[in-house]
Amino acid sequence: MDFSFPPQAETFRSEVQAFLAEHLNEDMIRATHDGTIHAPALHAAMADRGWLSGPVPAELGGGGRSALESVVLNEEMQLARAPIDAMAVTIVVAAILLEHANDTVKETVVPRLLDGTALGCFGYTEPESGSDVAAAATKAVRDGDEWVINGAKMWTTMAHIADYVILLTRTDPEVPKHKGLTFFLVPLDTPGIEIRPVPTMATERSNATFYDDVRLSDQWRIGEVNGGWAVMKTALKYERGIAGGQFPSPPVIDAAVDWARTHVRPDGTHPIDDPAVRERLMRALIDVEVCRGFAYHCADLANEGAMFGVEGSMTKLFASESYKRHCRDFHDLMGAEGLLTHEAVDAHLGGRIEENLRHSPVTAIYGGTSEINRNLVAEVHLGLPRIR
Amino acid sequence: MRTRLSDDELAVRDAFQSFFQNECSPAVVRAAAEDTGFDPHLWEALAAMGAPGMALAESVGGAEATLSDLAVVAEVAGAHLAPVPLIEHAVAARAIHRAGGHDDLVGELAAGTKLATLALRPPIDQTARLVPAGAVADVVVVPTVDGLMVSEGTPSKLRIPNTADLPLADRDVSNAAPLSGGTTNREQALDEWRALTAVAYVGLARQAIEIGVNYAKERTQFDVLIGTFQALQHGYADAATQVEGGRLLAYRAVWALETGQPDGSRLAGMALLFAAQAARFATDRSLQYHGGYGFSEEYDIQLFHRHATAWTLQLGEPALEYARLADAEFGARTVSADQGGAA
Amino acid sequence: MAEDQPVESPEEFRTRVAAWYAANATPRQETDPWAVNLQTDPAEAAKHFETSRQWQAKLADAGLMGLAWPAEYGGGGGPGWMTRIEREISRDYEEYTGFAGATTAMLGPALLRHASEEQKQTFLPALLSARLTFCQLFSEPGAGSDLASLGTRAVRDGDEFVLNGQKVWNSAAQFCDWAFVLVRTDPDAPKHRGITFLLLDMKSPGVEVRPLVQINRATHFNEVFLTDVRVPVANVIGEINEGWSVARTVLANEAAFIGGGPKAPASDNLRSLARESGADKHPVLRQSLADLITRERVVGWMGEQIQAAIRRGEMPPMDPGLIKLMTADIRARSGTLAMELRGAAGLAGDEPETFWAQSELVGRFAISIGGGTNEVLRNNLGERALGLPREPGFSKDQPWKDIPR
Repeated sequence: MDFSFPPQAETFRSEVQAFLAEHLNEDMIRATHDGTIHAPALHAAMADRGWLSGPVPAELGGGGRSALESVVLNEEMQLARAPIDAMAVTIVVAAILLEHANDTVKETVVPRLLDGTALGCFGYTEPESGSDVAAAATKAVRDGDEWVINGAKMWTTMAHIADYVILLTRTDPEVPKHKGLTFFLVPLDTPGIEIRPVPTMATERSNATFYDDVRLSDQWRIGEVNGGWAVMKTALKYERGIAGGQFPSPPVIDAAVDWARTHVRPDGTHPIDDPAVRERLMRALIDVEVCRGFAYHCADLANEGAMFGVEGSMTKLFASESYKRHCRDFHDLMGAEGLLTHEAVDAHLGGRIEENLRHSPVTAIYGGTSEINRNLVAEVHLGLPRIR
Repeated sequence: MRTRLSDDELAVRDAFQSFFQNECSPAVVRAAAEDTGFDPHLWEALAAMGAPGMALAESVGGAEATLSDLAVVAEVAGAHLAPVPLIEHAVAARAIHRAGGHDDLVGELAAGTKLATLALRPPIDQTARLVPAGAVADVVVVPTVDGLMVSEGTPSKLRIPNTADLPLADRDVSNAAPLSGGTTNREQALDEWRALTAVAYVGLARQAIEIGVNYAKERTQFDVLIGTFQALQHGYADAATQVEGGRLLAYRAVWALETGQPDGSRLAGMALLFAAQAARFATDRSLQYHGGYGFSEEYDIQLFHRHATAWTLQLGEPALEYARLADAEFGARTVSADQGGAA
Repeated sequence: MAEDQPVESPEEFRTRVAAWYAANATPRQETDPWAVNLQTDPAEAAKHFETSRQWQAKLADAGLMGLAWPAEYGGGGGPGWMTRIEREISRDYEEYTGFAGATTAMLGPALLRHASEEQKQTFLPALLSARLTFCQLFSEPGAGSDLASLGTRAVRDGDEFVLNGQKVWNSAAQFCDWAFVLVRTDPDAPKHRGITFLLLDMKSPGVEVRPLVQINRATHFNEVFLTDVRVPVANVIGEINEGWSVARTVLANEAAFIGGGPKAPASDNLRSLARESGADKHPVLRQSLADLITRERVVGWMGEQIQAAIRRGEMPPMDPGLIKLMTADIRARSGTLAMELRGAAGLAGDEPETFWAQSELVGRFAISIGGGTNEVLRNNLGERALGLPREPGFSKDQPWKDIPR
């Protein structure tokens, strides 16, 4: 057992910390408040350093960063509250394209994703297929050298600022559901696409996207016809455990400690001197160390070239469920003042805990719900019977 | 970075895994429980394997194994609920050796011909209360305000009846002599106990889940294997996730203590609290999903449930361990306990 | 029922019963709050069983058993409030009816509802006066949560059934005179429709009782082996092959009874423990204790609402299974808290507080498993109370004999 990082990862950690100190400011962090979790200037600065495709292997055209360096980048960004969604989407979309797209797409689209001038977004989920993603019904029908696409996608977050959607479609309804799927990369300015905002209970907005006789050249097909599930596996490989989400809690805990130290209760004491508050904070800090263990474990497996899946499920399950608990605990801790949103002038630390509280439920839903991840742990890790 | 066992550690694991499988069946655990809670034959067999002194220096008869190697053995011993105080003995022996000047005694401890233990709480009126392995140990290392002391004496072989039939007993330590090394040595010993016990909890919890999962793959109700019910699958998945998280934390704590990381003590306390809780959750789920059989003495899961409850309580109330970590994290509290009741 | 013209007012009744208890029973403050109702010594257990049986007989003699049961079957024929008042008064006294009282509460309503007139005349007075005690022979090694899959066979031979099979988790079977037993009489019918409910004399040839040892060393439960046991067809309660509905009446009363909880709430003892150790000043433990007390109160009120509805002859306002689920949850919390409050001293030693804390810790499973596991109760609630669909994979209409096992 060895939990140390190699020297180049430690050097990289210093680089990332210096980068964030220079480039990340409160305005970027607050950029999420307009509903779009994206800070273009930060994204561009990261692209300049070649960090957007970190974990994608160099031989595929990615950044060639080791998984250990990638987890360092993720950890530091999340500890600093930097918006990571655009980076995460870019990593996954670039990885999919580099593994499965034809040369034209690789040569024209990937460089623009990696230099930060183009953004992608995910088009897997539909109104009638969420956890059961392989049940996608958006139809793609071949017409000569073209495909005609009709259907709807939900939770296409960032579609309104993105250039491409990576779209999961049904190309053969006659075969078992996993075997009739095909992926396309669809430029979002193609005629027939409509993007409607979906407001959420948190500050972010998402979108529903509609596809009405959208005509697309076959060159935009990603992977084999009816080979969509293999592409999906690549997506999940990068999404769970690598592309972020392992450290949602530390900024909330920082805010709670700050509150506990500075707030004065009616009896003149500070919450930080209350053993009940101290125990709750310690429990949260222990959970963060557990998340750290999971994150490093996934990175170690990826670094060794081991295919990991269920470890990513455990990571996401534990990180998101404990994050929800921390947000509830610390929102409670603040009492009435915890209710103030970022729009209230005197909200503690810009309403950070309140904002996280409203954001936290979605983390246990998107990218695979906690229930789906529990099923995977039961089946893959424990060998219990498969039931779906 | 290596979050899995190294090849050397795997070799250690495999050797002790087959040892405990052969020598420490549930029947052995049950037989020990009927007696003092300690199995002298198992201890002799472990001594023949070199386990008591494995993590001591060669100069005193040890095998110079790492703390991680010791942890690997502790995990396997935990999985088999081994009725031997391997962790307490090793930690106590290391502490005496660090203090220096007791080479003959440490030699006997390395050989396992004498049995040592660590009292986890300071004595009151010259008596150490509820000492782990206190009923059987020849040597007791005792924490005090200033550091550690060592007391030799004849064990009573009488344990105080307790939740997990552990060889707990009170010990008169009026003859204790101070060990050098002060509070640093004391904290190192307690932290090693915390981290190794956390690892043992991981072994216990993994085994408890495995027993339950095997049962769920055999037991049919409502015409299907009960393992197909999501209610069970999700309970076990949560338990397995917590235990895996506990494993990563516990071994990181061991590594941090071994390599002198500044957060070693913090991680050791965290690992103990988290792994104990994970093990309690895992044994609770596994027993519950056995239905009535889980509650009967005949099925082994009840042994795991009782040990999961017991090990960490030997250190005292968990609340005190949280308080210790909080003091290090946030500084001491500035108001007295009875003023702090405003929550 | 005499609800409209009470023979005596609630006040008069209370005075009369209180006087009787004062004259005949031991006030509870003289008893040990840490006493654990756990007999690891078989002789002690037998004595305890006999003592509580005699107490029930004494209550019956005084006309204080079955206060609201029909008078023609040995009851008092009184209004429902009498039961409530009697129970309130009895809480202050040490004596209780124990196992016999529990089976009276479970089996009595089932007999009232499903038994023939002659059976009621024969068995109800004996049940009330504890002249006969009954144990339950329901679960089998392969039929626990899925009770309806039970396989103990009963083959008809003239006026008798011949029983063969094995039962398990049979509380007090070594002491009881009779048993109520579920048997498979039609293996060709779907599993819920081939079961018959019988009363069985435990002295019948071919009945063998073997004790089971529990995690807490008690031998409360037994296995019962039935080998060519002959039972008169006249002992069938309800119709042949329709025993499942009788069993459900028993199980509903059992869930409510197990969920009814102990006489004194665990929080009384936890408060004493907290005061003794100074933990009552520790905010974390204070919060846990307050949380526990809140839950105890809530479950108490829920129980009273259900009881009140039953007395008014209305549907309960909530599924009685909720009470058992909540009680199981409370017991788990009180056990954990008891061990945390005792710390290392909760682990070991012969102080009564330690025994109590340990018994509280393992006692959780008696409630979360016994009489229907939490998981089965939650499934029932999901299906019955919330109207959620059944889980897939059930062969409800398949003949019992064709179900793979």
